[in-house]
Amino acid sequence: MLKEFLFEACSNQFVSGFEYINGYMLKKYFEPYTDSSEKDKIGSYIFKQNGTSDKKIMLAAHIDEIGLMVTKILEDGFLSFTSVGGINPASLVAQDVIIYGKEKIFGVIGIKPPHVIPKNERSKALKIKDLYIDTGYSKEKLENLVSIGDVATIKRDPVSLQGSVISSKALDDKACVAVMLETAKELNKISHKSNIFYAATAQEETGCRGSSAASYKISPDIGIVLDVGFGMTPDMPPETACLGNGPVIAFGGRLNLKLTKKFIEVCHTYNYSIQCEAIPSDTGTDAESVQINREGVPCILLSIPLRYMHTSVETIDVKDVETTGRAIARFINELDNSDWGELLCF
Amino acid sequence: MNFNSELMKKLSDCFSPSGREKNMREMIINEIKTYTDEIKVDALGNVIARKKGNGKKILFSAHMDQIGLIITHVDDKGILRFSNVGGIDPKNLAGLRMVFGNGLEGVVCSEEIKDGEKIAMSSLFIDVASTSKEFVRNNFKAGDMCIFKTEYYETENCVICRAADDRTGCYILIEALKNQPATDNDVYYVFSVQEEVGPIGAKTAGYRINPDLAIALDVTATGDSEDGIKMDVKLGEGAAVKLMDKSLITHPQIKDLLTQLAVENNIKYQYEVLEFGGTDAGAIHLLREGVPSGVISIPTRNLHSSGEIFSKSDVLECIKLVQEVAAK
Repeated sequence: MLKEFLFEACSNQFVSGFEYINGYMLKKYFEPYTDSSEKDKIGSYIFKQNGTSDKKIMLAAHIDEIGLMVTKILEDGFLSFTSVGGINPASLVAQDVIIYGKEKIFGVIGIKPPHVIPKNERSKALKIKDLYIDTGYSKEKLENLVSIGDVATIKRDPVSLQGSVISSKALDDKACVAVMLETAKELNKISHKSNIFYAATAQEETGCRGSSAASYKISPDIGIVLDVGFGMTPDMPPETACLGNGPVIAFGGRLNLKLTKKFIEVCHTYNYSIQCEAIPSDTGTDAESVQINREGVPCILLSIPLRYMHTSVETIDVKDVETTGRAIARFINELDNSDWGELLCF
Repeated sequence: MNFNSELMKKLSDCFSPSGREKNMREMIINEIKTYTDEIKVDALGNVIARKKGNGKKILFSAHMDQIGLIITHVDDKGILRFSNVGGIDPKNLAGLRMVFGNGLEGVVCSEEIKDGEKIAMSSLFIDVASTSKEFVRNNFKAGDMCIFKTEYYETENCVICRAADDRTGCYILIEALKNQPATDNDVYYVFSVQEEVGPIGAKTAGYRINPDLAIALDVTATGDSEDGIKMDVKLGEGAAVKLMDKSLITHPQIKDLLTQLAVENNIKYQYEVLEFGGTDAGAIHLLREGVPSGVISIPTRNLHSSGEIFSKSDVLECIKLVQEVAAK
């Protein structure tokens, strides 16, 4: 089921600010395990499992993905665009794209032939403003189909690599939405006292925006923030987390140490593999906006190792998703049987 | 409605860098007080003018502050060193006349810059034209702010002035407020402080009002000049409906609302995607549980310089659009 969800969610577009277009898909997957759902004013989807106590635990994983936005229709029918979220222009060259205009329009992003690039320009980094989308349409036809502000994504079907490793665009952060789905499924089986909120947050890639409003609305006692982290490849530093070795839990000033240790303890108890990382200050994830909200929310941050972040070939091990989802369910179960006053005091 | 050059000139001539918005505050309150049901000045200095109603709470916001320079050090020779208040490119500063809150003036001078060297803020200084150390000591202190000394100038269809960012927005809200159509809506006109260093003021004003929807009025860049900015906004092509900038992705309902109102009422409009910058709406849309927000932008060339250029007809179109939103 996780793979099915990931393949379906990643094949569709959830560009920041445009999550509402395919949000129905989340409902389809989450509603069987949850009691209520709503879409908030920024575009986040919040699913709730009712508990028996007045405690509230919020899980947050962003549903949005990086994308492109049309800025200008050029005289000859090409489209200028900008990025929505952080994109390395080099990763866009020679890609197929889909523009979500009045209808889905197919296009490609090319570059000048190597023959005509002067020697001194060859080593220069490309900028987004040097690139164009080519649809083949004339300007007149294109103007009827596309308008300034329409978004586009890279066109890429998810693929299975060996074993449980998959590769797709937008696994940042659908991988973690899938983690929430696994947790919801598990907690639907084992009992829980706390009220559990699953927030598929909007607009993380443009500045952790949806999670701020969602955290305010939910006003949780504890936040469990989920995002992808860097996965090991030959060119990454040696401390990088490996695919298949379970979730990565972060230690850092923004994160609650007692809860962090508690999570590791639970993983050890139940034999879930876990990796650690140090993030001294800002994490660049929804953790900041969930934490600094109202009177403050103690948070932990878990990451799924992912290779080639912010490209169309992001790669994860689905096994990590499953492990993380289940470990969180156990963690919540343990929290329900702990003294929160003791756990949350400094 | 005709373009009220007198009011626009008055607004542009006002001294009001970020955090020192007193003059603007007084001018605006004076201008609008007989037209509103209630005017409040909040703890940070925002002016919140209200036209009461029982319907939807609508917030409009334009910022009163402008970019400027702040004195960091007055040396023994009577030379003033400074830092920027808001985004200013040092390379645009050398040679410019600046005017302080007390009416005194100076000129931005530069240390020797060798060929190929970049001009940094730290290599610039202000000369206030006096041989008397005492005069300098008595009149200029660290923390004093100054703004560009620019004369307001108009052609048949455009204006060159300082602080079109965001006096055009203030102008639009003043005119829209004075001529607000009858409505049930509860409409708040916020003249905010410290946008250029934040946005700061809009955060507290928006928190206080807790609106159902918010629209900021602010300038945007254009792609019709030779300054290298590639975008689809042009002077004279009407009110710009912002779809995205670095602080906001416009709420889909707000995009639809503004588009629909513009089409229905024959208001000239254009879509805008800005690849830098932000506005008050960036701060407001993330308040509390979130506020559906958008921006009506005034296309402006030569932004954040001593001479910003905008079209009078664009401003008039913006006023019409604000009035329609207020009454919707």
